Amino acid sequence: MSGILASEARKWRHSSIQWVVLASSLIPLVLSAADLALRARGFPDRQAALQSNAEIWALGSFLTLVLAGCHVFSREYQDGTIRPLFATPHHPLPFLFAKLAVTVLVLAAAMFLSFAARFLGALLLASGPWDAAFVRRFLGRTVLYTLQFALLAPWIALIGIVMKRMFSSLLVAFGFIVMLFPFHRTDLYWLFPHLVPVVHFSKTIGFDGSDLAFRTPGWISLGVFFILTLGLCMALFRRR
Amino acid sequence: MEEILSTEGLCKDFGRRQAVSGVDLTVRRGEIYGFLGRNGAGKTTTIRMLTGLTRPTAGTVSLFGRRIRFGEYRHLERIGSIVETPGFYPNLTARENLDIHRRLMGVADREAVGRSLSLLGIEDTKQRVGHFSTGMRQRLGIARALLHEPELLVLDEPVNGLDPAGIKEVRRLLSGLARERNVTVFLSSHILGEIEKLADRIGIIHHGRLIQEIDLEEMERMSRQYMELHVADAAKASFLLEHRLGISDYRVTEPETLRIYEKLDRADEINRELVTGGVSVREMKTMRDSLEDHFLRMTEDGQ
Repeated sequence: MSGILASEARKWRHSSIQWVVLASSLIPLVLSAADLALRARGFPDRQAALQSNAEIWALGSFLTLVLAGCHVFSREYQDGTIRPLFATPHHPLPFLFAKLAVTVLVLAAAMFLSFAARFLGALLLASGPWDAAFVRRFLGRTVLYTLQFALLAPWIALIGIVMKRMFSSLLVAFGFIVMLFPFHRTDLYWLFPHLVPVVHFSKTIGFDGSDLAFRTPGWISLGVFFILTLGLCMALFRRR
Repeated sequence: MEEILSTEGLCKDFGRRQAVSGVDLTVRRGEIYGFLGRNGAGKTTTIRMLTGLTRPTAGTVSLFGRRIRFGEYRHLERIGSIVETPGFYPNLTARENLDIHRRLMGVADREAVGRSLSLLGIEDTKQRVGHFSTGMRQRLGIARALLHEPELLVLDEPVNGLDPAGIKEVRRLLSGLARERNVTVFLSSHILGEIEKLADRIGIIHHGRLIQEIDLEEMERMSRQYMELHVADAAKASFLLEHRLGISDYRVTEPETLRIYEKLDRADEINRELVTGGVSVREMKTMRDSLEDHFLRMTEDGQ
């Protein structure tokens, strides 16, 4: 298993997509700079401009991360490397789990970086000394949402395995976003965790999601969704 | 001789289409088995089933004397394979690609990668595989298949995209592996000349059925002698052959060329009858069927 994990990590390390993910994760810093510029100019509708920027960023980041996830899965099919992979004396499951582990790590790292960038941006913008309670709350939420975000990995894996080509995978992911977009009400910044519990989400139109972590039904649907998706991945990622 | 690979009634259906139908073949240790077939004959599907990539609809595969159930994978450490075009991670170098394979095959010796690369004459450079030519990728595919020193090599069209020098090199390499290291080689190809030069035995697959399995000595015996005639009017010559000489086993291969498979000892009589019948004979020579002729004859029915 360690050999498989090391191989997966190596494939990722040499990929140029890691730089795209890194750049995408640091965009909150640019947003903070944009806010500074808006303040300096005394822009009349500053909040609306910030909201719009954040929405575009959220959408772009989501696609970037799907691109990263699909890179791990659908490229194996696209480049024909899945055949030599399955021609090795290993069961397909360790490959699936190694790929999921790498995807989870990358997504979590990207999410963490985003939050760190947002936090740094907030610090830059803050006029007075920052509140210790705010920092604790902020970091707590960061860890929580990073964990939730990691649950996206099997969903992305599923798209990658089913579509088998990166471009098709991205199109499907984009379709999902467009489909879910009208349901979302307030803060697209939390788009990522909201996309995961599709079942729960579709039942509660207008669901804000900011209290997702503290609602039991949300967690149950997350768990069910996670297990179902993982099961599907296991069923599909095999020699046929 | 020990049977390394054998199949019994191997079938694969894709919906209503039967890609492979009742294939029974045997490959013995140390031999080079050529698997011949036209495009779409079922070569790759058979190879996919042999390497455990595709589940057979029916039939069995036995490897190293043991029947293999679909989903088993331990025996794969004894097999090196190229299935379809060899796939590589384009953003990695040749060495990095092979090193991933080395880890997955459980080869502890790191030097194995360098040995495999030099065996196929691949320079260990920083160039990424994404920039490799088709021929280079093919070589790298063979290098990967050989990396863990397998007992059985299953190669699907291994010389595709190689230049003549590369083809010769691969031929020498595979021959050497079989003769010196007793490695069994199962290779598919549609390049008949290559198979003819390399294989100890040949299986011909057509429309998913293994229609013939022969060794080269048998092939030698089976290859038919014929008389090739270059005439001015092949249609008229055909008429004369049938009605004046009673020859029915002949083929018109080109508008002015015929091949006669019987009464070869009566060349003078054939010549005389054609000339007196008003057909000028430009050339007459006795020849023997090549593997290509044999293959085409075997697979032309129903085309």
